[in-house]
Amino acid sequence: MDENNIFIELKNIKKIFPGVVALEDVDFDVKYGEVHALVGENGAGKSTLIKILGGAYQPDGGEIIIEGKTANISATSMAQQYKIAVIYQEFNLVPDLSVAENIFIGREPKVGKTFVNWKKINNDASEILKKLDIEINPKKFISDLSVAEKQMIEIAKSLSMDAKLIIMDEPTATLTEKEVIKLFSIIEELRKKGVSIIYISHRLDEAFKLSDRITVLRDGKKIETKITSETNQNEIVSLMVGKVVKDYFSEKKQKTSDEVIMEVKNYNIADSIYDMNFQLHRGEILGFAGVLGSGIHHLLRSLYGGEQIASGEIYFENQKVSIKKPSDAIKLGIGYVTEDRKGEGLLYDMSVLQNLSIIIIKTLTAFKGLFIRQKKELDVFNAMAKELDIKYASVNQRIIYLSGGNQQKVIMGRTLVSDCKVLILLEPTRGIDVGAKAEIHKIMTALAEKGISIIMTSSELPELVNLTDRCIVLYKGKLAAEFNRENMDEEKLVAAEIGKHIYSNN
Amino acid sequence: MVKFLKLYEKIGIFILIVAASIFLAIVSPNFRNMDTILSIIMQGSYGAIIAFGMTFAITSGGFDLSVEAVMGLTSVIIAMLIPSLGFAGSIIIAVLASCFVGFLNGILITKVGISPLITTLSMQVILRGASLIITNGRQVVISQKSFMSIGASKAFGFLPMPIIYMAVLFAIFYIILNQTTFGRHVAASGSNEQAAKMSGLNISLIKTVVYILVAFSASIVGVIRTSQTLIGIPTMAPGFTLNVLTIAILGGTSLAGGRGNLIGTLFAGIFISMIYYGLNLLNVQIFYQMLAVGITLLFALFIDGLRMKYLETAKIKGIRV
Repeated sequence: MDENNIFIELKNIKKIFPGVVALEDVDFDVKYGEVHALVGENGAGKSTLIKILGGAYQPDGGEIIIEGKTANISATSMAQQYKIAVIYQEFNLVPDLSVAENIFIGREPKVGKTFVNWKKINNDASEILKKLDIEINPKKFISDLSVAEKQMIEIAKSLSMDAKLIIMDEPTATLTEKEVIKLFSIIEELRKKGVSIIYISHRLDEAFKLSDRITVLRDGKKIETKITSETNQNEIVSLMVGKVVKDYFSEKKQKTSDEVIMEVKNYNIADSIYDMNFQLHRGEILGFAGVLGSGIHHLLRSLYGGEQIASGEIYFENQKVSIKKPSDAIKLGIGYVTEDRKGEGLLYDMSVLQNLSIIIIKTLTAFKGLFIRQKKELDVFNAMAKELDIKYASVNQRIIYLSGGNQQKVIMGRTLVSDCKVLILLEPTRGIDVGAKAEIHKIMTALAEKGISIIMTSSELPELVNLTDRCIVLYKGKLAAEFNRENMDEEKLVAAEIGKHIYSNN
Repeated sequence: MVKFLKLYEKIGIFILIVAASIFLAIVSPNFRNMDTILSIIMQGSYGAIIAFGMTFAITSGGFDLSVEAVMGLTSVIIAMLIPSLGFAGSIIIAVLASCFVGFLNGILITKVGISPLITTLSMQVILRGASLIITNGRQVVISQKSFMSIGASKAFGFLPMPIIYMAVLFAIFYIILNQTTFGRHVAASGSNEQAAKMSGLNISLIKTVVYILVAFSASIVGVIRTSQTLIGIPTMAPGFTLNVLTIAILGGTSLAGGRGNLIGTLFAGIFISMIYYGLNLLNVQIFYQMLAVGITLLFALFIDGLRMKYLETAKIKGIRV
């Protein structure tokens, strides 16, 4: 063991969720003082793997060996005992406590048995921060810190627990470039101290800059582990993408018209979108691709009036318009289907019928928009339910009792009944099964053929490649590349998403 | 459990009423005559009317703790103005002033962003103070005896007026909640405010109107009670807010928002009145009556908590039960 310097080794790890094999016979190891990058597309199994290491999930098969001994990480507290720390994208910090309190939470130095030793806790905290060359006052509250600073505190916290392995999940997704440089120098420090790091990132250049080895996961399987200095980004990208499954996409037949329905000029959103320009044609499916932190979601939300901090110009049917709130967008004929069905889509307590009609209910009325005409509402519902093939027990059934796919159809239907001309779809097939996915794709294609323009984003690249007429790739809030149907493939999208501009269209 | 809760949601309050009726019919021969029953319903109408408004507030995802102070404000405004304006004028001004209070509640909650709890609790104290200042801390006697006819007379010689007011307001509120776009919008904002916003609804406007409706209903009861006693009482009905909340929640309107049940509210109002009647009958001290209302509220909250937990809305919305 010792000659290989292996801290942790995973053998034949398997994890099964109902209906999905998330990990299949994954072998993986990390050496002392090594930075090991873990890459793969969404759904490749990266999160599952780190959750197993962090004790949040239990593997259904295989073995974990830590420092030569078989380990059983049966709870998150066990991970701590094995000196493993996971820094998730959502931090585990208490906003209303100080930096020092957060670092030592649950392990505060005490005076006697009851009282916190404030002097010691603050001194110890500043010592750890100094070691990492982080200039943050340990008495500051977490809620006053920036995202980058919070992340540093998480690292300090892991160090204070003497962690020998720190797992970082997309640590740079929300950081500015300056902060990234700082983070890298800290990782360099940790490596010198003999701390091992598993580094998960969508940005390949970072993985190459930092790591000693790179492991590629795809569809729950380990594809390969490469020594970083012996490989290149093109090889890793093709390992990540593998073969493309094309079967379940319906092709759009008609050509898009040249008529511009919507144009966005010099569009900026504070800290997320910089100087965006694009046109949308009638009947076009325009895709947006980009990894977490690319700003796509902010952009698409703001086109519907969901954010109020945007500047720039929007033209709709050649008229300059101002979209400040969703009702402005609805009036113009812009529809929006959220990616966050639970957060801003479903009206949980209400029926399937009421969920579908909420946007247009004002038009289904008698006496100047006052009284709802129940029959008309039901007619609209029935027509849309038939068109989208929504399956439900009764129109009065509460929406939360529907399957994910049918919920999604109701939410889409809600927007479609409003006769919109432009439809913004965020992750239209997230969290629904393959059959329903194919149906949603078919609906989208049919809509575009009817002349409705669609703006969509999806973290599933095959969806973008096969559905869209044109795809714009954003990288850190800027337009990085643009592809059309003829010259677009997954590899090019992945490359552009992670900041490699070599395949650019123009 | 889910089945039980769904059943309770539909018929729970009726079962409670039937059980209480059987009990009262057995222990009290008086209960079997019409006058007693009408009197119980009348006593229940005050809480029920305000609870109609409260049902809207809870459905929209909030609640209003200032209702008893609105009653007091209405009472003193009428008593002070009736000598100069007569009763139509003084009632209109009192009700309008109350609606303005509801408007303020709504603005503070939606535009300033203070929680409904703090806003309406502060409003309660402010209005109490204001009412006491207006009357100099005294109760104001109303000399126009004819004013009494509004709340203390009987229609057709047997039907107490408050029951008629309750019936009319029930019909109006029921239609608003279930048949109009506004009612639909109220339920949507309480069900998932973010989703409602993204559906193009003006949440601030909707909620502000809701708080105006609550204050309006409280003011109506203020008018009725003032007319019955012919006294302007600045500290009218202390503790009544809790009764109103109990009625709305017991009737099946969930604190999680999104689902308003006005029929339930109506019957819960009558049920609470039956509890009071029963306790009076058994010669139980008034302190125990407070105890009973408190326990009923806890019971209603308990069932509501179970409902949120088991129907998983709690999990989705992140509400702590």
